[in-house]
Amino acid sequence: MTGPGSLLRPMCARFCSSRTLERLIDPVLSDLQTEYLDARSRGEVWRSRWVRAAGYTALFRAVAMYGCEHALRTLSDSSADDRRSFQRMLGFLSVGIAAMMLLFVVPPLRHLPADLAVYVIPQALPLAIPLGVTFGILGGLVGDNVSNRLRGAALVLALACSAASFATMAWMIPVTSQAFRVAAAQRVHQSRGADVHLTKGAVEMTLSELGQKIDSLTHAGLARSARNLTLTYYTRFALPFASLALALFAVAITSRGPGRRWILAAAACGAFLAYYFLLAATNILGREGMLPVIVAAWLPNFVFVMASAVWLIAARERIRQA
Amino acid sequence: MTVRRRRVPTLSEKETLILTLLIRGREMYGLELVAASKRRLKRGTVYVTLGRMEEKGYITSRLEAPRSEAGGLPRRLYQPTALGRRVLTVWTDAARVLVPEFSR
Repeated sequence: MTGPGSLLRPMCARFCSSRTLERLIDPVLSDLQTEYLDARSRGEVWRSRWVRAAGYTALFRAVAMYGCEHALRTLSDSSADDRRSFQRMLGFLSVGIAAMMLLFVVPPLRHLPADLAVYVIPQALPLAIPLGVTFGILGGLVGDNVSNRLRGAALVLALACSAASFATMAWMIPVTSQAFRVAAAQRVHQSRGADVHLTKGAVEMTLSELGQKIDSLTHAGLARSARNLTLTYYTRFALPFASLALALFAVAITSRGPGRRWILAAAACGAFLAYYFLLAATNILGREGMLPVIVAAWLPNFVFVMASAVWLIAARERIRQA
Repeated sequence: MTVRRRRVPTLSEKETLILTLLIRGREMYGLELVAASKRRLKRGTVYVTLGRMEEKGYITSRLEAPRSEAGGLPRRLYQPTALGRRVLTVWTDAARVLVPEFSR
């Protein structure tokens, strides 16, 4: 098999049922590959990149949507304990996200007029969602009788949160950030109603605009600027997966058995801080050219997924020996 | 005596659109349906809806012959079943009666 998804499919095959693979993953990937290869054969490089990004987004959405449907169906015929735990998980998740939103949004609100403050809200979501997910899972999966079905539902929930995070980062933040800058500039120049044109920065560019800018910078020989923007481009895809990586880590922690709530809360904070510390470090290394930008963007997710896998395997071994 | 209720077939808006497109044209693959729907179907959701419709028995699918020169996975082509055609006919007839009735 060639084209995009050739690595993704074997990974999906490990986690999905053969029916899901055949009826959901394969149709998305086959259409993506056909469209991608057609664009490549016509020599349309940027079109092929767009097709790849749109195809992966479609796959992500399809899996998240299918997972949610599946989780709801599973939950409707699950035990009362599982249902209670799931509700508790949703409660913790909502409180976690709301608390983080307050923490990030309230300070700027105190200094900004209300019509400008509304643009700040989406900026907080990529941080609030992963922490909310980690708290939610650790809060919901407390107890002796956590079933695998409930763990699966937690991961599906995290996947849905990742999808929401991606939508926020790919579309909502660029639009609101530019709107904020324009509104602020109009306010400064007292030119409310008049057209204010501001050149977009990296945050304000959509994925396709970023791609075009990277191309033009590369052609102009501005390698460092191109590298910085390429890192931003890849981070837009990688960061939304923080929810899933941290959720996997939370599931791995709870697989060791019941723990005290305050220890789990501390673990959630620790994991969240470690993730963002690692992200900051890899970002610096990526910008300095000491790491390939794609590695710099995805390394924190990779590290957390690997750590979770090791933890889960160790927990399984311990259960087998006991 | 227990009375077994038969589940009444239902069609969502997207399912109705997909069946209409498939009945109107030839067998189609996911992205073709997205293009034919003039963006009323999204590429992220069409495959889940198609899977659900296949489970309900409204459509059936087959894999197209692999394109040897390009490589890649073979595409899945969808076509309506007799049940799908019947459900769409009944559903649209019912809608034709119910919509004027309830819009008064």
